[in-house]
Amino acid sequence: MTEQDDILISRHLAGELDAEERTEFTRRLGIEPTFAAAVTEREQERDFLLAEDRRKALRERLQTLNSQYFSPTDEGARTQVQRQMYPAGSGVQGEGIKEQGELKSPSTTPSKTKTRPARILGLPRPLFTGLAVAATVAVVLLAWNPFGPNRDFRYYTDYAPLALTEKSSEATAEALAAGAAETAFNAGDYSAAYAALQDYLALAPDDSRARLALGIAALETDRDAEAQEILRTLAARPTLLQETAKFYLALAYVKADDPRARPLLEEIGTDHPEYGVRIARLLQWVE
Amino acid sequence: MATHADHAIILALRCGEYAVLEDIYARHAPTVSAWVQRNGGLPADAEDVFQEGILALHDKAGDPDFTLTCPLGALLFRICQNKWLYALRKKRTEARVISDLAPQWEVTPSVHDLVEAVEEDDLHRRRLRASFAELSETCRELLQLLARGVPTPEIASRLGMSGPPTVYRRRHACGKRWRERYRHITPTDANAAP
Repeated sequence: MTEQDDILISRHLAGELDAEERTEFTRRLGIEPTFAAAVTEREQERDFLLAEDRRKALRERLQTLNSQYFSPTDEGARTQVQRQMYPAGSGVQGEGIKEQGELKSPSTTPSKTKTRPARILGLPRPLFTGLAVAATVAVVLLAWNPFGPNRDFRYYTDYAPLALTEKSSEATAEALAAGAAETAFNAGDYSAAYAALQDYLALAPDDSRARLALGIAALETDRDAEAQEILRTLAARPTLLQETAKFYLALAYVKADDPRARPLLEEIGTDHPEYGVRIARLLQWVE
Repeated sequence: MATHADHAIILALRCGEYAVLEDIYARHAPTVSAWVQRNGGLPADAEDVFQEGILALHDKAGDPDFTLTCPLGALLFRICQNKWLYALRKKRTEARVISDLAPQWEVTPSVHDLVEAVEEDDLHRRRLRASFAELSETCRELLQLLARGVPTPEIASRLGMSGPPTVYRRRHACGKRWRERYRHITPTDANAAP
């Protein structure tokens, strides 16, 4: 591009061209592809620089959100197991079952299911290091176990934290029941969770996440037939909980020494990104 | 392909309505964070990856031709996932990626296409950013002031130039230099840029 054309484009972008110059400019745009491309390039450069200005403002906004959602803090309770960085209990929510809701887009999710803002709590470094080492050992043992598969079904579980309540839920019976269910489930008290989830589901029978948690609580409290029934129903429905329900249904079958375990495990497959390694070990168990 | 309902979020970002970010964080930060941490990352890594994902999405949202045809969460997760996988490769980390897919989202051709478009745009912007950073301070300021629509006599005054003709001549030289530097920025250099 010549300096003359570049200056012309600069003046065009600055709105400095008079009527005659604008007419000539438009005429050239229509017949000179090189000139038109140069104009487009200049517009893109300008847009990029303007976007960079907005980006700075956006970064500042993101810093605020990061501090809310990612920064370590000491407040709030923490989950017993699961994805260890996620807190449970009041005011805090992790990925959890809540995030694995029905198969629909976030923006179309009704407001009543809107999740609370999640804040991810870092663990104190020694505890984090300890968990990291423990997790590494667990993964190694899961992948390579010279003594054969572990025959405790809990060895294969990895329950996501349960989050049912809204950020600013009013103290309704439903919210109270949901809170009690969350607290018990996330603390690993599955007997209490089973009872609390039944109370909650009596008020909110369509909550699939709670239903899945009830199936898990039933499994954990040796209500095997009931657990299978709940999980079977969820596994048959085309929702985002389906895969999770299938895996825990397979686990329930394994636990009960039910012959349906193997075909279901094979259906999920050892190449499943979430459950594959566990499926492989469970298939050894049911051999 | 049909526009997804989440395109409303893209339009909001395009218009600078950043209130939607709160909802994006609430819905998707935990998922991305969990995945990064399950794949060798720390919470700080997850924070970086998520922020970079949001920025890339925001940049692409500025493209008026960009139309979202899949759930926003699916696209954002993929962008973040690729950023973390790239970071792992860059660190030459041999950590095994134990969960390649987010179970929450269907992976469709639409997602792949959009991810590709966002990443291509992201790379282009990184190259622009890296090459722009190599310009002189005067050039950078001149280009920024012109982009913001500051009148040329004022720019001339602020930068100590004799008048608008000089401003435009210097702009031409700076723009030329910028484009030259852009051509010399490799994808690797670009990815090292902020």
